[in-house]
Amino acid sequence: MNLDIDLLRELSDLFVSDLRASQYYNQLSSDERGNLEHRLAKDAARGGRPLLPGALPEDIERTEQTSQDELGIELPNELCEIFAEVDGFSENGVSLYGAEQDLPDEQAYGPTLVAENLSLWSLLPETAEKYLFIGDSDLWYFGFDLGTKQYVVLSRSTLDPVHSFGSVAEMVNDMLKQALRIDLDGETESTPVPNDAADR
Amino acid sequence: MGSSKHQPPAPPRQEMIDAVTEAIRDFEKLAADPELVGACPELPGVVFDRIMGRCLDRKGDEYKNTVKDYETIRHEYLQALVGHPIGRTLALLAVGTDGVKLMEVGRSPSTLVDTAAPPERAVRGRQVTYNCHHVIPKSVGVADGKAAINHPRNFVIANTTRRGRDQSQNPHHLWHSLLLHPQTHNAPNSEIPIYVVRPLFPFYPPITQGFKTAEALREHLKNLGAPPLPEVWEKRILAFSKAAGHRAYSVPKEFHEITRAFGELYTKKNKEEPAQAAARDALAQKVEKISAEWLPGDAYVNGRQLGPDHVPKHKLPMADSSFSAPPETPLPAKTKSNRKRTQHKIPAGPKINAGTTAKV
Repeated sequence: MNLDIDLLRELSDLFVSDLRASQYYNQLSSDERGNLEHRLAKDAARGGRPLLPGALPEDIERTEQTSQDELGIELPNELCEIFAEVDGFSENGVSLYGAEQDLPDEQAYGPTLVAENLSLWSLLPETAEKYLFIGDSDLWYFGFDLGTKQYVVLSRSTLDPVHSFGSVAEMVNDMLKQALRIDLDGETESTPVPNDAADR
Repeated sequence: MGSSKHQPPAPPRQEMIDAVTEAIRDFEKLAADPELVGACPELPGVVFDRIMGRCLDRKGDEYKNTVKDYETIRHEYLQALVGHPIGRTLALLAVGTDGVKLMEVGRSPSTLVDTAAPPERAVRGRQVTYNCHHVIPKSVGVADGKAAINHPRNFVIANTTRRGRDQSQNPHHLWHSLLLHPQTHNAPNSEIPIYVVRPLFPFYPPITQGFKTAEALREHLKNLGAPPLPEVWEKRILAFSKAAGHRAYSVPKEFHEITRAFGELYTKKNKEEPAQAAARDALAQKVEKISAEWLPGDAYVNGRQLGPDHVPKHKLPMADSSFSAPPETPLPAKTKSNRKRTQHKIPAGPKINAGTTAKV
């Protein structure tokens, strides 16, 4: 199964609509807002998904190297392919960890793969070198079982595996659906902040 | 902005609105003395709540049902909390106007703080993110079952922001990993005392900036278009601000930097089997030791009771919430039929995905 590009596009659209409804955006000067819109348009023209880009090749390489150096494991190729499409996200309580960037922590965009695994392995030692954590939510940890080579969902409370996926793409698609609150039966979908919300 | 296919969410059921009202009332009763908020400066605004519970079999029906029910009510809880007059004001203080707007449409709050990116990189947003968590974990069975677990008085919306290796804005990770998980990991298969970390606010941390006086707090709320808080909440917020040094709260360095210190245990040099096993054992013992520094003698850590002679190094205040007893306004499970009761002419609203992941 491949990554669902429509879901990525929907999440990108949601991020852009949230940006435009945000206090941050509304407090920018008109010049700053214009520059930001120009850069978003440029990102889209380059074929990227605004506010939801893939990782740069050098970031993926750095993540592979750091993973070997600090976690002692080789990243699965298909996970690196996911990073090339989407360099992590956090929405509605669901986080996909991103690639490591050469940035001071305070400038990092969110949770990153090696940093999160070091943190989780340290404080939940029974998971160390057993799972490579890929993301989380308020209910689940999403990970790669290093022994069985399966992508698994662990209960956040018990750390027991509760479900497995055939591929990392299938797992990330499920994470995207949870982030966007899309039911499998197609009944519902995510709700953006209304246009006029900032005025209320 | 936003595509036309998105519809406004259904309003929360009356039962959820009543349950949030009960939760706010219970929060107020929980710590009559606002000084309790700053009693343990390392972890201000939280208390230990001693409950009797047993760790559930994750394959059992009780655990499965608790998880599934939670997935169907989470968005409704967010809407109801921000619809409550005090809940809304507390939300404005904790997650700001952007967070409030997201909660109104049933989404977890977050705040966009920056979009700066070097020219060679695509623009991305830097967010402060929050998530809803259970205080008494879903995996713990209490005498009155899931009615007490999936109830607003058992929820907290906690900051879960992580930036690379910086976990200083992620207090929930500390509570869960250092204080709760060691108690339930390898726990005996019987009812045991469990000390859960109970915040004294529905949001944690409750503020994003310091307030030295009630007047400063009221002025800030006025600027946000919010009414002043009742005295009990005002005092509690001010006590938290004082305990946090009138700054935005940050998890104490000694806790969030544990990760960095432990990182080298997994490096290549420890890849040889004996070194690896030794490293893992050392790590487990270190975490156990840190947990024990907080927990009383009747608590279990990694399956062993600490014992009557154990004296915790840190003194987190104790509360006896009785929140594991049935709430006055238990939430009926959300079904298709009762979801429609409050929808009137509004199109079917979003419910949390109970997708493939939820096959517990």
